[in-house]
Amino acid sequence: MLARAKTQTVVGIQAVEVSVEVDVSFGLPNFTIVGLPDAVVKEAKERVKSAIKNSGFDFPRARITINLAPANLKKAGAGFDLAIAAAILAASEQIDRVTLENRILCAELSLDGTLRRIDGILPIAAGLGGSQSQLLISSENANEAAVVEDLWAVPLKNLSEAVSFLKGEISPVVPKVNIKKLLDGSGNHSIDISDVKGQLHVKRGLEIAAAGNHNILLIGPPGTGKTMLARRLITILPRLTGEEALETTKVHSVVGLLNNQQPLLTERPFRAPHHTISDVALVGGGTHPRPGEISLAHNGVLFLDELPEFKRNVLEAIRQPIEEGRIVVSRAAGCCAYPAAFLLVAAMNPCPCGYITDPKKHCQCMPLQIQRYLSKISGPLLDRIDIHIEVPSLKYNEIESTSNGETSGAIRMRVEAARRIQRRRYKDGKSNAQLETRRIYKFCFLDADAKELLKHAVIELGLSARAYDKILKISRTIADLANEEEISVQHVSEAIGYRTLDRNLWMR
Amino acid sequence: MAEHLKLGRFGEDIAAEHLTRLGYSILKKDFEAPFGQIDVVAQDGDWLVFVEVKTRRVGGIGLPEDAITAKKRRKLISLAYYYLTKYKLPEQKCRFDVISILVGEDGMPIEIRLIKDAFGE
Repeated sequence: MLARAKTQTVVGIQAVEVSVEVDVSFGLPNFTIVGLPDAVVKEAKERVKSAIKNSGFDFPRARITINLAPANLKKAGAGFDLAIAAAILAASEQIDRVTLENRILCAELSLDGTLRRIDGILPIAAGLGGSQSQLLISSENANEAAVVEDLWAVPLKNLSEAVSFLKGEISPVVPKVNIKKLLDGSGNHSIDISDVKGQLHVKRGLEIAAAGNHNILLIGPPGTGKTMLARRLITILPRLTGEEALETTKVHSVVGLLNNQQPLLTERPFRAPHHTISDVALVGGGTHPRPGEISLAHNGVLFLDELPEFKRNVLEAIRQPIEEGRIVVSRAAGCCAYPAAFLLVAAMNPCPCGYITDPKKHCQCMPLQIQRYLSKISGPLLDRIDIHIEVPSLKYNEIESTSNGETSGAIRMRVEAARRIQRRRYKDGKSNAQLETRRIYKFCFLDADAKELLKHAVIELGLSARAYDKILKISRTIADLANEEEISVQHVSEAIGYRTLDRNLWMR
Repeated sequence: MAEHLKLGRFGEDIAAEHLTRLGYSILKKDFEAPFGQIDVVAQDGDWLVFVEVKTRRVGGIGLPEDAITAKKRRKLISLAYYYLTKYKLPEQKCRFDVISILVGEDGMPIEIRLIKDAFGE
């Protein structure tokens, strides 16, 4: 007897339909799964067998052949269990085969028949939104799927409940999640940029980074608040839109970072991988490709603390994604693209001991050591970081002071306004930092004084052509923050101040 | 005949009696294939049953059924294939049962247990 059930699996962050065909015929008892299953899928045999028996159904003593089609797609994960079990029940005539039509079954089975959550339910649900198909899932996945509007999802506790549902005996309650309401609550962070004492010019640098989407490098001695400041960057970035939230949540869903309590990311992600991370963990990959940290930081902040300590190949791997806003991972098992539009925040000490820029402490590093330390960051990578800013150690009266500048909320208002200006100007959703050379000269318009200043700076400080472009872009953002159409001399002079490494301040 | 073979033959006789009592009809005892033998082949309703008999004396090591290792199971499966091919029964419903017999010191069986559908694949 032949039966067919449908399920879906995730390739990259796209859902792909997999058809589970079951043939039950008499002969020597046998159970085979074909269609490029991995070890987890093969083990479905034992889970399905026990789950069927323990839910009070008969597991047919017969030759059972299961085909997962399309046969050339490698199948991984336990999400096929429910579809396999249902198809076996249909093939052995314990449920009607017709009931499996127009239904997608995605859940893992435990031995007692309980349905367990699977990773990547959001991309599957998003693909089914607005379609006629019903999605049968574990109730542990219910809220995650409910984020998608116009979806017919059926959360179920166990296999017997699933069978009762297929027979039309019960109709489970579908939870509703209001995305608008969830996102309205965002922006109320437990941290605030005014938590950090002093460092007003660094906060200003972060504001510019947030407004123009400029990558930023913080340089300073240990203990000056680099990490604290970086963490607070997400509090001044514009609030997530519903679309952005869904996109980022999809990546988190594939990796399995969501649960019923937190079905949707309502805040921009902040990812701070340790510097021992491998290149694959950072950009994504593996035999069955999985998204890496840069994709988890999509629409948010990727913070690389102690930048020179990262392995060189790891840092070089993020160069292309910084440019493109996505990463294409190609492996033998397949090739897939993950979104990776992140704002890079890096932090480092100015020298190996950290104190060369500190007026009070004595630096013990040899010039060669410092050179070696700085050269760990390649030119091409540095090229992609627009703003370099020094974070000095605080003076006593700054530590003591109680006035800590503006709150995140106030800064965010300006940032959102500046982003609106950019959206209107470029019309393609790009920000100042992503401008191509041609458009830099079209939109970054300097007045006469500003031109004169920049000319001096280039000659006196020996700035490169690359630095020249960067300064133009940063000036554009500063002018946008001030809501001015033309870039004036004070915008440019502030921008020059954010190119510390071009000026080689401490490498005298 | 060696002592352990005698015990085995004794067990098979007891097993056949026991199966008959349970309503099985015995088709073959000691079915011979070129690469081994099946202790009992029986019919239970629609089902063709291949029975493996394991006999142990009290005080031996472990239970009789412990002696059915993965290797033994694979062998029984290929023996069953041989049987089905020989008698041209490709669509026959079949299963494997195990009978475990514990024999006391006086040579009389103490316990006879039938494990239906003991394994598959």
